[in-house]
Amino acid sequence: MTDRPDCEGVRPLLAEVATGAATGPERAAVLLHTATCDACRTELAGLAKAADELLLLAPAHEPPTGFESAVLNRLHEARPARRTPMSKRSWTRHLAVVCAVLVAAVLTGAVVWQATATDRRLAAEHRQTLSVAGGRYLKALPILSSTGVRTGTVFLYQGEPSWLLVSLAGAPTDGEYRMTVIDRDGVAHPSGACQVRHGDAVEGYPLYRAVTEIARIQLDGPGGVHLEAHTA
Amino acid sequence: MAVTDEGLVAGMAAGDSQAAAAFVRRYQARVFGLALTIVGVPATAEEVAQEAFLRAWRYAGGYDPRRGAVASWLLTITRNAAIDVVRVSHERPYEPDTLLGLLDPQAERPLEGWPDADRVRTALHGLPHEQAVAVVLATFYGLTAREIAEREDIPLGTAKTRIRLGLIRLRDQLEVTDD
Ligand SMILES: [Zn+2]
Repeated sequence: MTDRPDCEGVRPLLAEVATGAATGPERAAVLLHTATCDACRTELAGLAKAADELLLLAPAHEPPTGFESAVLNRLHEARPARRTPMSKRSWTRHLAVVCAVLVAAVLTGAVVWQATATDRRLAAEHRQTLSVAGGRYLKALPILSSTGVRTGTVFLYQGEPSWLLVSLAGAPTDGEYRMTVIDRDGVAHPSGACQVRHGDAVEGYPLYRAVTEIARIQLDGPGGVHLEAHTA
Repeated sequence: MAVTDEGLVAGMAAGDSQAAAAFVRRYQARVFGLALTIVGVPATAEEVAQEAFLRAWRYAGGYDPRRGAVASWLLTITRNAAIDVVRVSHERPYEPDTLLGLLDPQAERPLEGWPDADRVRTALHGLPHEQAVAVVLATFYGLTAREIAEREDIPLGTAKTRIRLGLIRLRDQLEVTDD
């Protein structure tokens, strides 16, 4: 994760990313590379399409009676994700692209990021990042200590599959931090752990729910250290 | 004249519940069938299938026809919802042999009226058997190379190679038959 992966390092991983079987850090490394490499991005898109088409082979099977009305009842309770107006939409996309650059910055060790004009120009060059692996958007949330001190960033990537990347810089204590994802219904989902050394950690995880369903992420470390990142 | 798949998805993105109803009717057997194939338990499969349609409804606005047909988009959503359940329960209740039976050229053709599936089946049969098995386990069940290595009792590098070569070959075969 310290070196920026090159084509040779990424190619063997593309198939596993395409089938969804790659681990979080591998996926992050691949997406980081394909953000700037047309050849590998095209290769990944082709493999992902083939993997998706394979699912057409599953035998069809009629669901139990009442299935259709049960589904429609649930749909009526949930509104579809509205298309946002154009201006908002392009702004959102721009923000997401900036976040993609943030991931790149984190993975290459440049953890501290500031919203400078240079960064925004760099971001513009990464516009295609979101189309990688069907990604819909990438969100960056500040991780705050109980006293409101910023100690890192959580990146949430909505795609097929989705993933989450925790980057800590200057965490109060070293050791294992347990991560919990809390959804909008208030349900807590234990989601693994990361090892903090010298206050730093970068760790990727698969994300098993829609980014829009997540309310906050909490990290609990040694000595009762409690860190949180909120989505809204 | 029937509304196209793309038309129904566009309708759903606009919040049209009639389009959603038609969409569910058109695809429920395939969605439930895939969910059942992966989770193996009808009650769980029904829950997964409902969740898949809910996600499709929410994300209809994000469907991109350049990435693939509506069917594979929806089935990918279904697969992910099913794997979520399988992983959270920390169980592997499925019977892989049922799915691997799909690799058998003698298997009956359960998808009459879905010519796209025939095309994929032919491409899959073009792979060496062990590559086809690795690709199917990774794609349907989200098994990692390590899990496949354990299951098949082969070295990790071999499992990775099988997934990679198998998927590349599958992609090449499908591209040849693509119009
Ligand atoms: Zn490359």
